[in-house]
Amino acid sequence: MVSLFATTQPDGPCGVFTDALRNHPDIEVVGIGANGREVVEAIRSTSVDAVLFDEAYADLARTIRLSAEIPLNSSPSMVLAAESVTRPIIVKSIACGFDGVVSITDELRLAAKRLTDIVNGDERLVDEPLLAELQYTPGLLVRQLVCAGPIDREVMDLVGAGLSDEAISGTLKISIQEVRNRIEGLLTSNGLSSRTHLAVARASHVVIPDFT
Amino acid sequence: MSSYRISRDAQFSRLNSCPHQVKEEEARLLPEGLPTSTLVDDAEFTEVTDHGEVYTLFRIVRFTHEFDHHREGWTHLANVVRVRNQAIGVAHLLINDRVIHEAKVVISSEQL
Repeated sequence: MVSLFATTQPDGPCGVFTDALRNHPDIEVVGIGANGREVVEAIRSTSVDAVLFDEAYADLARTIRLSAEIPLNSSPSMVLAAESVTRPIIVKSIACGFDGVVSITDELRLAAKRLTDIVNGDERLVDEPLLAELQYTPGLLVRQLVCAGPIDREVMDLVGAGLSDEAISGTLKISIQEVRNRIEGLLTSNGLSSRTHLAVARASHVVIPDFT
Repeated sequence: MSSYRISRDAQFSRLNSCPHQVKEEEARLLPEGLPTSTLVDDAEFTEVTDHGEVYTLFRIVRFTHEFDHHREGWTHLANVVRVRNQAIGVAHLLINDRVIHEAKVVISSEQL
């Protein structure tokens, strides 16, 4: 039996899907969240196995992960409810820190099975064959970026603000060689593969301090 | 035998281009024991490839040549090692004020 908490509008497609799940013998819907605090409490609850997010709230999910400092692959599983499981949805889900995706247009039996498999760890997004050929960094948008010191942090901020290496060099009054060496260090220490990954990860790092 | 008259503009252009043409590319071998600190403040530099996306850290082992008037603008040639995922190679460098502004590395051997 999977204890499910849903984050959705009750009358939206995901709300209707959640309502339908109430009738499934393997799923117990324990609540529906109306705001971020309720979702954080549900995620921190030991009695919830999975938190289901409406596709429209995918960004909320990653902000919650960042703000509440919830590590990836922790319990409960965070699951995105999408119209269908397409490659863009899978990529977005991995970037936003979801553990899995279910299709709300699938047969209820199949969706419930997928949900159960995600909670049991039998269905992992990173194992999706669709992603095998992409050089993608999982959890890109929910990374807590690490940096060695204040200058590295400034370099990271300026990369996130869209400045070129030359512009960063001019802004911080450090050589272009030092700028590039520091960016290389940031990419390596954060497991990122390209400068754009660093810029996106930094620019999307939105933390709401009052979440806990 | 045919003869050609060269226009005044063309003559002027040729005269102007002469100083550049006589500056031939020259590579001077540098002494084997030359410390890297003679030419740069920091022997570690990052090569940026793939349209500015991929950053790879290298360390200069030894400067081998100094260029005059290199057609691509490089000032030095050096033996380098890749700091992560070890490999060795040769780097064309553009050095200005003891800072490496641009680099192009050719990897010659890498660790399997």
